[in-house]
Amino acid sequence: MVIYKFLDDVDRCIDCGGCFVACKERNQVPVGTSRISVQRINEGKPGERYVAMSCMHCTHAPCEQACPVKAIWKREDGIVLMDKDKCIGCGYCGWACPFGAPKYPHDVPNYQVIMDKGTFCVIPFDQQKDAAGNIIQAAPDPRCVSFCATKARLGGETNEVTEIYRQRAAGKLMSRQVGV
Amino acid sequence: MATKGNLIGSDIRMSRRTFTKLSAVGTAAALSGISGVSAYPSKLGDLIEPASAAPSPGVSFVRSICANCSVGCGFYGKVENGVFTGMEPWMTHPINAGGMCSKGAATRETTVSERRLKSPMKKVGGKWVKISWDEALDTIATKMAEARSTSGPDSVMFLGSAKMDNEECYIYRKLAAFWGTNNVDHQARICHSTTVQGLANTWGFGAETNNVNDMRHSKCLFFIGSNAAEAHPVAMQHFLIAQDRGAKWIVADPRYTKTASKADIFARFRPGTDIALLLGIINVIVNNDWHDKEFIKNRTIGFEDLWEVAKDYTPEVAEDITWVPADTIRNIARTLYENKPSSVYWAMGQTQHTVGSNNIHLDAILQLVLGHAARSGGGCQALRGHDNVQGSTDMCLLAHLLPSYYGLSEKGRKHWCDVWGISYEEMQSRFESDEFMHKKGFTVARWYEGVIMPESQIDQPHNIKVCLVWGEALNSVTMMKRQNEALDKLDLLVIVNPRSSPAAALPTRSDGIILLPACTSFEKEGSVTTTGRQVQWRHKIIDPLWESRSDFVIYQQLAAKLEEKTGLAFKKYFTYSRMEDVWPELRAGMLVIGMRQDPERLKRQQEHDTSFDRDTLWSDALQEYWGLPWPCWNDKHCGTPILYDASKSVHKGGHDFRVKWGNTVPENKWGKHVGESMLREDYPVPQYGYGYDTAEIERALADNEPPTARGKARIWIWTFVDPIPIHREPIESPRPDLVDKYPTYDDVPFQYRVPAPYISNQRARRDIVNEYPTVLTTGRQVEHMGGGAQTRGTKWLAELQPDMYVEINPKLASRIGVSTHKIGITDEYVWVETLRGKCKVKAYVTEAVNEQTAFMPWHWAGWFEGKSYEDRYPPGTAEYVLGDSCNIICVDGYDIHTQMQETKVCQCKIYKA
Amino acid sequence: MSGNTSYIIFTVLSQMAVGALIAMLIADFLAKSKEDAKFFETGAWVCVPVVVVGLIAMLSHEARPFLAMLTMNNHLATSWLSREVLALTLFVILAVVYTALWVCESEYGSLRGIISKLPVISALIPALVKIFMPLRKIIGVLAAVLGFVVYLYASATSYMMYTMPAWNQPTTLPFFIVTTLLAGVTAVAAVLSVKYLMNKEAGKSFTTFLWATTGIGVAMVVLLAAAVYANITMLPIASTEMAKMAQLATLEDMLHGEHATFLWLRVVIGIGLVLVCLVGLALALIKKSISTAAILAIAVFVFAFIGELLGRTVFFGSIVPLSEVMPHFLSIV
Ligand code: SF4
Ligand code: SF4
Ligand code: SF4
Repeated sequence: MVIYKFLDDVDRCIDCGGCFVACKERNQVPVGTSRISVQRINEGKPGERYVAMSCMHCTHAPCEQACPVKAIWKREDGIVLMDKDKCIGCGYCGWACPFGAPKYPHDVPNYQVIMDKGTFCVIPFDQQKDAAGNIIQAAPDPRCVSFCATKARLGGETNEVTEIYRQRAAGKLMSRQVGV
Repeated sequence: MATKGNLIGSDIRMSRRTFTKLSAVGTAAALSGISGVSAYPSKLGDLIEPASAAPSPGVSFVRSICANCSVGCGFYGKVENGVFTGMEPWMTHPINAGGMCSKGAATRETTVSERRLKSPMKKVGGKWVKISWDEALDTIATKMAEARSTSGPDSVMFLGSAKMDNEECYIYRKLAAFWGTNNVDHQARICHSTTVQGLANTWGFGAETNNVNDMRHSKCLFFIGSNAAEAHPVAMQHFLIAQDRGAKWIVADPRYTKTASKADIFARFRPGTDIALLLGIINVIVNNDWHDKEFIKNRTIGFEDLWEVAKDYTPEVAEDITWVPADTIRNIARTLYENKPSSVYWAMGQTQHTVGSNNIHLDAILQLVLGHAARSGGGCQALRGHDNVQGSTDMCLLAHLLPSYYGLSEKGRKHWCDVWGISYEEMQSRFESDEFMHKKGFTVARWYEGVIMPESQIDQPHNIKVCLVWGEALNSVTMMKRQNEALDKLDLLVIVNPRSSPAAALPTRSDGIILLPACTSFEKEGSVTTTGRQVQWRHKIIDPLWESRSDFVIYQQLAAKLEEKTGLAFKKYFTYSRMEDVWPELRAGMLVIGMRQDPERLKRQQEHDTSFDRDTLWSDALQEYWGLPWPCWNDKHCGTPILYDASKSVHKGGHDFRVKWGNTVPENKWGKHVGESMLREDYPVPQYGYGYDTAEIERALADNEPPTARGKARIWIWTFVDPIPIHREPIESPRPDLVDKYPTYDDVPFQYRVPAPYISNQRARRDIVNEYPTVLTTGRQVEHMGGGAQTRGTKWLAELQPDMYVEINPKLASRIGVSTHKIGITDEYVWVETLRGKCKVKAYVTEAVNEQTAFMPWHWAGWFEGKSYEDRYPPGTAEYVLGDSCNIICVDGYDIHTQMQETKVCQCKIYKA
Repeated sequence: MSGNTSYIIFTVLSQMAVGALIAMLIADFLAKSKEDAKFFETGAWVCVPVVVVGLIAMLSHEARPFLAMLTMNNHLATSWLSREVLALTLFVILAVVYTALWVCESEYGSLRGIISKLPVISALIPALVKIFMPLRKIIGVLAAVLGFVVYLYASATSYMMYTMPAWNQPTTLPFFIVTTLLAGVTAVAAVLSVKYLMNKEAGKSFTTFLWATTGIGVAMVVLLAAAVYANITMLPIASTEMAKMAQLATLEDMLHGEHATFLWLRVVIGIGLVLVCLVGLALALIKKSISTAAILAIAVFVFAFIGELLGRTVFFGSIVPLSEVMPHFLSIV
């Protein structure tokens, strides 16, 4: 079974905003809201780091559990999606989410105060349904990952992601110990 | 790492179960040649070969290259029935592996933006009216001809752009030559002219010696005056890989930048004191006997002269000048020495100074002394700005050079006359006189003086009457008040740009401005050169939108009009049907730098992108390097990825220091080294590069020798005012005592046709610190590019970075009454005032700058001294976000050799608005 | 209505409604005579209107109120919000029936006059009331249990999320209980006091009722004081480092941020003044000065209500969610 995940390599992120724009471009997320945003911490002093925050597609998605109307569900492959037609905008998933991923944009026609969050590039901001009423879903190919300037943002099949991260970390550890 | 897993912890729970690998991921990884640290996982199945995989009719994927910075990132443009509908990552592009920063990722939005200039326009009676292309070109040609007949050819100023493709830059430079003027220049003047000056005079060529991928091999990265994380984001991919592999990072900068956040050692130094810092480092290196004596002896001249200067710059002396603690200086020196090879990185932070050329010269000296020059993982990385600024520099859209760095001398002129098929005499007749044919023209840095200074005070008979602002952002040039005066005084102002650009809105005049809508880089094809000298082919994604036309087309149409109006022959020299038609001329003429690639080879490389190794950029399949970095000596040569690398055979990209100043040291005013040999081998120096002759190149290659010979690098440059760099205080300095001790240059009567005061300005402002206590420095925001007309007019980028601001330290903030409740941007406005004027900007409170320093980004326009001039833009073309321009207030200092503007240091005072 | 305001109004009013119902149940048991019942009947008008206003406040905040009404209890399997909504719905139904059995009663119900004038209903309602009247106390007890046990628990639990460390504490339920019993019960007491002051006549049980109110009030003020103290000292330490950080940030905002004033006002009004009035109430009752007692009962309610609104404002306003401190933790490698 394939399970998809994101992982931020915080040592790599440079706050270039590539992920933010790539996501906007791909999913046509309107101005005023976003599915991914880079947080800057310890600004201006040693320890300054940047973290790209988005939906992380939690294993036991708290948002899914919290949603009172079953607008959020988790696919077999771990991707957490939502149906905007069902959402009532109660904001409860936003409280439940540890990453602050759900957003409730104001001033967006059709979707006012309706929850939006990252979908692994599976569903764009403006969701479309087929004749049978199912939401049309694209292949999981997150643009924040493929466009990430420094490959700080890892995403994809869990094993693969953790393995890359492990290698990087190990490489760093080794070279530091050996003092190369 | 375990900690990280746990922290995401109870919620994400990185599963430890084994999953079957998604086969597509495996294939993608294998196909794209990714392994280890550079790998990324993603389901890429159909992205690997989008063109062939595109199933739906009417959909195609076009390879293209980002048109923002010089890293040269590739991407696929998705075209559906002729409409640019999306972007896909080019995962197998050897430089960026799909990665793009915010500017690059917004390319589609930028290209199709509603805020573009849609048709030619003219300002009549204070109103903008639409006109036809024919009327526009006719008016321009008529006015130019008029100016020519009344005031001579030098009354027209040609400002060009690094945003144009190589072919177009070349045509533009050629057009200026055929018009008969040297008043042609573009933003490379205010970007890296000092790099070219400093490096070329040290070891032969003025470009980055390696490329960003090669920096993976570096063991120590020394950033001084470069904030790569904001200016060259994707290059950071490679720099960070080097770090993952154990490289040390040193960042010396007045600010704690995003780049500094990755550093092992951060040295905060006072703007404008790079030389003292570097000399301090060299002092420690030599004192500890850490210099590479072998290398110095075999491959350089002038080391003893260096020591004469450097011995006085002990770390303690340097500390007093630079703010950097002596121990940090020692630490930097040790780290550079212990981690071989180290490489040096700089951008505008070092170039834009009155001592810019010297800064760069000293960077090169540092590498020579350490013996880290001329090798993989070492060298000097001058990180260029615009996507094709290396190319436009090579094409020498410059007031003092002809394409491929040929001088304005008779020899250089004749070479190009040969290539262009025009007689030297006819060329001569087009100029004001023989004198003006060889005299350096006005530069972009001070062109406006040619308009407003009395004719008696400038070094040409008449004022400039017509100015073509062809893709140049005037808010990137300092002294905007004087510039505005010039814009208002011109007979005709022509602006050619995909956007109306602030240049159209700055002048208050009600007539005499013509705007031509150029198309963007994605509506035409052509070649662009990255910062690493790699040439990449940019395919056309869509046809020009609205009424826009490509510069390539506009030049030819303008040339035809000029022939009509002036009677001079233009048409036969300016007729090309495709971009490729320009290349035979380039290949024949650009011998000095060996720019002899061929579009077909460039396109073929892109078909075989997966065969290039990401570390070396070598393709086994093609037996050549990515982008055929110049010098690429002939049709078979693989390109030279690392300049001066003598460890490789010339056929495999080997090289050596180029001698361009003769075989021996000539007589000089310092009376030193006269007669000393500049060659380290007896191989006769080929006299290549002139008169259309490639035989010498072939002979050298046959002998496996670089056609540039095997010369020695000059630590001591006898043609410079300071043969060895010495510290000189900036024009405006916070240290009057140091101004007395380290004064700037003597005044220069004429520099690029204008008088250039140095010491007189500095003396007059000796005690400026009393009234203007804060050092002001400027720089970039990652979301914006250059003058910002494109990026501020792109909605995603405007949303991401909507503010012009001044960064101030919390202590300064609380002193002037700005709330320090939160770190970051505030809603409070402050005035930043200098002797030139003032800007009203938001306060950004951060410890990134210290109490004595303030920082402003320079991409902003649309406000002038606190007042918006949005109403002067042609309707619907103003950028989404506007702000005051810091170049209104930057200082009037210029590099002694190249007239590079000094934007990085002046004194200001800041107070609440 | 902004997010926080609607949450504040909704939670406070719905909890008060539960308390009001409990108060009426107490009255139900205390009423010894028809006169008593007639006097107490007015108090039955508190519960349902209050909860309806609360529901309107909440629904007004939803993007799609009607869809919300229909679907909010769709996810009982895991969503505490769904459970909360279901419990509240059932409570409201029972509360409406219970209230109806008070106000439609044939001898003292205030609607009896109107009902007798309407056709059909005049026959139907009294018949129904007659059948169900013996069950009134049982229905009341059911509603009280549903409201006080199930609804309050579900409601508190729905806020006690791991991601909201400042809510994820044992004090959340006590806060809700206090709103219910202090503000809710005194609301009824206040209404009855007004009635008493207007007519100067009351059943005998009114004094007993006020005594009951005083007892409950004092217990609740003590509980509230303990909860507030526990809350601002964060005695129950969060389960993870991350949560602790968010909790500390919340505390910082509570004590020094824009909500600091609210917090201290709440302590002064919601605890201090309420306690003073409660003591006065008890003294008045001992002195058998019912009028004074009635005035003080009204004061207790007013201060308690203001205190609860202030407290809830702090509760919702100064929360720092885990997501805000998450970047710090993701960045420690
Ligand atoms: S929205 Fe939040 S809680 Fe839901 S899956 Fe995404 S990160 Fe997890
Ligand atoms: S694209 Fe990558 S490096 Fe850039 S901000 Fe996003 S995560 Fe960070
Ligand atoms: S601006 Fe530079 S770093 Fe960013 S995508 Fe374009 S070429 Fe790459």
